[in-house]
Amino acid sequence: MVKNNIITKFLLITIPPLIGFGIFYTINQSSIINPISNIPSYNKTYSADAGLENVSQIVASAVENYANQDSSESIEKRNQRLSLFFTGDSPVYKYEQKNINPPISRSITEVNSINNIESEGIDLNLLVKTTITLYEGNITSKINKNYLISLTKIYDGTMTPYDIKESEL
Amino acid sequence: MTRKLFILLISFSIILFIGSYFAAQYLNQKDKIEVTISVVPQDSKITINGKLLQSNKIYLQSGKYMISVIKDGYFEYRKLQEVNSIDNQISTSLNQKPEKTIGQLTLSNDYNLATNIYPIIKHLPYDSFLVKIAYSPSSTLSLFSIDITAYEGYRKIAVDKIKNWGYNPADFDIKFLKYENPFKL
Repeated sequence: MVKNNIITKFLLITIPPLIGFGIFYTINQSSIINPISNIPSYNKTYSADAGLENVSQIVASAVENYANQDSSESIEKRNQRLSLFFTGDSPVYKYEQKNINPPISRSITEVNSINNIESEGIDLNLLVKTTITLYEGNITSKINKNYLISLTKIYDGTMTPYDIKESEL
Repeated sequence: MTRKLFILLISFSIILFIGSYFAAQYLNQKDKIEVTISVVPQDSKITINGKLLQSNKIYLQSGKYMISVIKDGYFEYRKLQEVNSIDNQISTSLNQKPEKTIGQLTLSNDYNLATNIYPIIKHLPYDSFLVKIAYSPSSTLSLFSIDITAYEGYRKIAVDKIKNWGYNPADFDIKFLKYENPFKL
């Protein structure tokens, strides 16, 4: 009886703080932001319309990083990767990974061409044609996809990718 | 167990529970740098590596981060920032975007916004042989004006046309422009 009483007292004191510590630690851990470990360089070839020399590289990088998808990559890691190319308020961080429906686990993208399409105001809309390699275990297949990407002007005047969607064009 | 002892144990447990909050915070902030971000306007949204911050103070490991400060109507501030024990303060003020002209609004998805505020836009441009009524090319939602191009004798026709549409011409900033003879070679 006395032994039971001691156990009850011990549990009353220790369990709530332990649970609390676990909850607080997990909440804080989820808010941790890790530094960007490597910034990818880009030296592939693609064709681009005249006048797009200044933006074509960031557009190609943005599209490839968006369409490159990996089921083993966490959402946080993917968003961190995308944040290098897309604006901070881009809806891209909320988009689903459409290229990797099971059993496809990974997609690697290559940009073929970047073309200007008509746009108004201070925004710029471009059509980007890509070839995507889909990985299903060791089996690979290739598909072509076109993306419509919109760029917006930021504080220093440079055009930065804002939104992206698949295009039927 | 007596009631007094039970209350004592629960109180002790609550104190430890609160202490665990600070312990967890300490462990998460250990070996990290306190980074303060000051922005104008103050209600701007701050994202780091695409993650929205809840406060303008954050604990980060030293390294590179993509800092972005956003607010509607302003150009985004965006920078790949090296954070270390020396560079731990980020401050910026956003630049306002130029207001869209009525012409840009009517060509975009904001057409309804423009016509809700200025329903007369639905009638414009009006072009008859004698008078032409249009919104000024520089018109915005905050500075809206109407250009009337007509001979002096026909200006009243244009003003009456606006009345016929159901608007009071005195509510608008109307500019009368020099009329050009349509028969002029």
